[in-house]
Amino acid sequence: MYKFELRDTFFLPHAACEVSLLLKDREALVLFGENGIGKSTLLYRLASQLPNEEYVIVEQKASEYFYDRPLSVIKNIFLELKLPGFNSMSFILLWKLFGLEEKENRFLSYLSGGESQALKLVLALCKDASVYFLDEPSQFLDPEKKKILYERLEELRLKGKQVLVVEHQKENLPKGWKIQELVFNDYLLQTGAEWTI
Amino acid sequence: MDYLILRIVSSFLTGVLLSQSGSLIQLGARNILASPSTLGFDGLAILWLLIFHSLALFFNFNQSSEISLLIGIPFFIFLGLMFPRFLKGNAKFERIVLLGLTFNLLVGAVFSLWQFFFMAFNLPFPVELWFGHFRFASFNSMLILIATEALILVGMWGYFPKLKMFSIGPVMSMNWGLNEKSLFRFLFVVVAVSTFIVVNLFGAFSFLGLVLPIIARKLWFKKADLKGEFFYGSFLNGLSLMSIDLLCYHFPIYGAEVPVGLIVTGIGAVSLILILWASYKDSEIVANLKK
Repeated sequence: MYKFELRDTFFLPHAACEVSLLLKDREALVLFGENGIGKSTLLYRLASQLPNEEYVIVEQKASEYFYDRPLSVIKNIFLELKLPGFNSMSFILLWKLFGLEEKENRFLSYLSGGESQALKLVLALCKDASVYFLDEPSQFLDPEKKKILYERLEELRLKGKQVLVVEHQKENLPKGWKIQELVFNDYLLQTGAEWTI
Repeated sequence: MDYLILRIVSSFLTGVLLSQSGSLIQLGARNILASPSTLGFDGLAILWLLIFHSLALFFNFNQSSEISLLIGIPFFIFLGLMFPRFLKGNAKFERIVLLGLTFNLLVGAVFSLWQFFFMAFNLPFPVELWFGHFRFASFNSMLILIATEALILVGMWGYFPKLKMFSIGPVMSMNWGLNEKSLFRFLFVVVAVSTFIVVNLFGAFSFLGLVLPIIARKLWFKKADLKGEFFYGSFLNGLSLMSIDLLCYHFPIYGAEVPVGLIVTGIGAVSLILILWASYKDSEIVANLKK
């Protein structure tokens, strides 16, 4: 169980923040809220409260790849390095499920938005972490991949991991997941209504 | 030892060092505009040497090059350790490059002014400092370069897995607990010290640290990834600098040797324009096909 608390008077240029979230074992929480309310900032701030080995984060913006290399090179780097927490079985499975296997010869600069997003997800979800922070993970993905993503996240939740997601759409979200609304009250970011799917 | 062997080894290792330090700094900054010259390391090394040369003249001692090297190396190690502080937070890298370039311009102006005063007072001025050459290659300079390259290779051996991980993307470092601080220290110490050593021994090679890694990346990187750029690419860049230096040595113009730094910067610039032009045309074709 993780209890996150964030109280900050300079959370955003135009707001203060007073948020308290309780993430129980085997729980997935989805943060809902208007654009620009500070959901992504909140996610990063919450992640930074944990030690590095306990969490993994998938950022919303496109990854900045300085080197334009084929996908096979990235795959080999991960398989060769065997980093602490790296789950090679899960990596290979996700690589296949997200359809990257057929595209291994393709250079990063020629990946579509959905393919880049899939790569980002595979490189993060192959880590055995306790908490998974995902900022709009289903963006650019086709319906089939969205389904695969949420099935995988549900599997992680059932294994006892915690999942914290920022999303805008309720479709595809597995049953039993909790939704936490974030609202502005007099320039103060606070938690609003909470319900279960 | 035969002068030519000393010169061949020195020019080869200088090419390797410039190519590797350029590659490291571009990877660290994730920006192809980063290089020892655009970030001002070249300029600072020249300024350091100008001050030392003037002090040597003033106090009338002959071993100025060795003393400046001995005092300079710890200073440039310190500079390399401190430099990552500039990259903290939301500092835009373009701004740091602009600062480096402006600093280089300032050093250029100071250099010319200094030269003017030296000539006015009829004092000897190290004009050759501005364009690198290997005329004064010696056994000592060769040993210094070999030791520097050996240390870099040892460091690279230790840091290579981290460099590979770092090359995938910024969030990777966060997710996989990569110690960026220690990696940056290694990168910038290598860049600062190797640039200073090359400038101190043979003069400035202008934008070679910017051009060589891009050539290595475009020609070799796609086949062998980082290993191709850092090892095969830098090896070939070293061989190129060595060959051009040999041509300068064997074909003097009216008895005077043309500085290899001048020739190689010209060749490097033209090669880079051609490579970039070719890759631009490729991308244009792909873009049109996609439509």
